[in-house]
Amino acid sequence: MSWHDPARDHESEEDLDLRDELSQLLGIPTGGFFGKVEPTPKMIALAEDLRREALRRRHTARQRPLWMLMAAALPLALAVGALGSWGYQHKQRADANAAALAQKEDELQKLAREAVQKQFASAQAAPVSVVAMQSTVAPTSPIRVATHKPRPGELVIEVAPSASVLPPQTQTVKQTGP
Amino acid sequence: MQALPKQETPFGELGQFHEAFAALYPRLVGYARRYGAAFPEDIAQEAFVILMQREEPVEHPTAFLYGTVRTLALTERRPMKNQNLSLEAVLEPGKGPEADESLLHREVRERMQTLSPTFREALWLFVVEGLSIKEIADILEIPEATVKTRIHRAKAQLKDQLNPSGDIHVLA
Repeated sequence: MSWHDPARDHESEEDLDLRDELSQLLGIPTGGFFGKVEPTPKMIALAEDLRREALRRRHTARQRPLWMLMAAALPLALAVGALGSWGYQHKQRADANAAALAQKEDELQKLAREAVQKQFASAQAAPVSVVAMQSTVAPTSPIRVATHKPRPGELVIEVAPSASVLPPQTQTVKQTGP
Repeated sequence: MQALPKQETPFGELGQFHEAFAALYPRLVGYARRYGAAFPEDIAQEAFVILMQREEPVEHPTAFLYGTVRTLALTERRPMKNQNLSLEAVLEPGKGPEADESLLHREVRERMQTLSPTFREALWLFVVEGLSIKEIADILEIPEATVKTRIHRAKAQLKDQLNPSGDIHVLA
């Protein structure tokens, strides 16, 4: 009864021929150096010692069943799941807030656009009254109103004549003689 | 010595394991020594213990042992400090690791030394240790095609060294 390694059975003829050829090149016996070795009592004792050591290690190695490993991993899995759920909810809420904010901004921009349009329309109607007022006020007013025609969008402000009066010129007279 | 439960080993029944151990142990010690291991006997013994400790069956136990010895020797570990299990006391004359260097003729040994270490490693495992391409691929952790390439290149270099004129002759 000899030990058997299944790897020997799967060698192809090509590999066997190659080994023979290399053995010839190296001057090695074709069957190899290592023939059948009869185990001595000391070698058997050593083999048994090693086998016993392997059995001892196998028995002393702690083998935890699968359910125990899963139970140990459960708190971690729950924590990870809860954290993920919490994060997902926060993300949903943040997305909703961002969408509402964007909508409000759109509305505000729309209102501002409408206000500007209204102001532009009123500014276009204003120059007619200014010109009419200029023709009546100008001869008596010390302030000259600009004679150029206001451009569209230019705001014209009516200015009332100033009520302030410049101080009269004074002259100091020195009395000489009696 | 207490009675051990009868059970299958990676090499079959107990008697087959003893035979495999007797055949492989000196070779594994020599293989560890080739890697410059300071304690090759300990490494070979540890490889056997690791193999026997496994509960899952190993497809190629010989390749597993060689691979484990190679890994342990490369990492320069000293896994077991059991001086009572030293190899020197149980080796048969001419079968020990010291005999590895005398296995080859000096001339051939010198020619093998001229090969690159990668080629020499594959050639040694294939020809001297008698391992298959698949086993060598497992041991060296490289594809089988790479093993074949290395062996063929080693063969070409050996041919060039042994017979530059192209004639093949056999060294005996």
